[in-house]
Amino acid sequence: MNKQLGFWIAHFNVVVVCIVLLGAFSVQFGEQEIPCPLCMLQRMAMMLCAMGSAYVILQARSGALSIPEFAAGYGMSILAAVCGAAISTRQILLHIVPPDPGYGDPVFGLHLYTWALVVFVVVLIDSGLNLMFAGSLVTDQPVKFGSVSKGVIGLFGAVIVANLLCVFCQAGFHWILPDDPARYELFYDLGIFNAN
Amino acid sequence: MTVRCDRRLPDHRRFRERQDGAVLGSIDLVKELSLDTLILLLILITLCAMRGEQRWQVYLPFFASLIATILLFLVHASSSLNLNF
Repeated sequence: MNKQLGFWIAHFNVVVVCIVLLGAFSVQFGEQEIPCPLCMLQRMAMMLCAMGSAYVILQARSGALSIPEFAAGYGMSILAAVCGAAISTRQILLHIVPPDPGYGDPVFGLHLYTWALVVFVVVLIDSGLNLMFAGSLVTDQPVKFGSVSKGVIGLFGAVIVANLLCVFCQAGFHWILPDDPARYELFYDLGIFNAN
Repeated sequence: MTVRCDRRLPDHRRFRERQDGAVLGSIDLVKELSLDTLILLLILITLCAMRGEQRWQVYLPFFASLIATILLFLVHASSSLNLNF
C-alpha cells in the first residue's frame, strides 16, 4: 500500500467538500437562489467536516504524520458530520410531505439539503474507513507538504472567506438572517439598492 | 415556487420588523441575533490555528464553532414538526 495514502486521501476529502461548496455557490448565483439559514448551517458543518482532513494535512508539515493526529482529524470530521446530518434531516422533514414543493429547485433530482445529507453520510463512512485502516494508511515514512498541499489548504481557506463575505452581504448590519431570504440586506443597508 | 426554509416566521415583512427592533436594541431579539458571520470567522480562525503547534489552539475554536452551529440550529428549529415517528 502507498505509504502516503492517508495523507493524499485527506487532500481528496478537502477538495471534494470544496467542490460541493462551490457547487452551492453556482446554484446561489447562477439560479439566484439565496440560501436560507439552515442551508448556511449545513455549509458550515461541511466546512467543519473538511477541517478534520485539513488538520491531517497541516499536521504533516513537519514531514511526518502520526496515528493520533490522523485519528484526531477524522474524529473532528465525524462530530461535524453528525451535526450537519441533524440539520439537513430537519430540513428534509420540513418539506418531505407533499404538496410541499421543497425549498429551492432540485439539482439532479434532489434538493440541496438532501444532497447535503448524502455528503454528511459519505463523510461519516469515509472517516470510519480511514480510522479502521489508520494503521495501514499512516506509516513512519516521511510525507511531503508541498505546493499541492498548500494549494488545497489555500482553496479551502478561500471557500471559507467567500462564504463569510456572502453571509455578511446577506445579513447586512443587522446580524440576522431571515428565515425566508429574498435579498442581500447589506446592499440595501448601504443604500446601493433602494428598498422600495 | 419557493417556500420558507423555516416556518417560524410568516413572511419577510416580519423579518424587517424584527430587524428594526434589533437596531433599536430590543432585548427580546438577543437570542435571535445571527451567529452565522461569527461562526464562519471562528471556522477561519480554526484553520489559521492549525498552523500552530498546540492541539488545544485547534480544538478550542473548532468546538466553539461546532457548538455555536448547534445552538444556532436549535434557535432555528425551535418549533417541533407535526410528524409521527
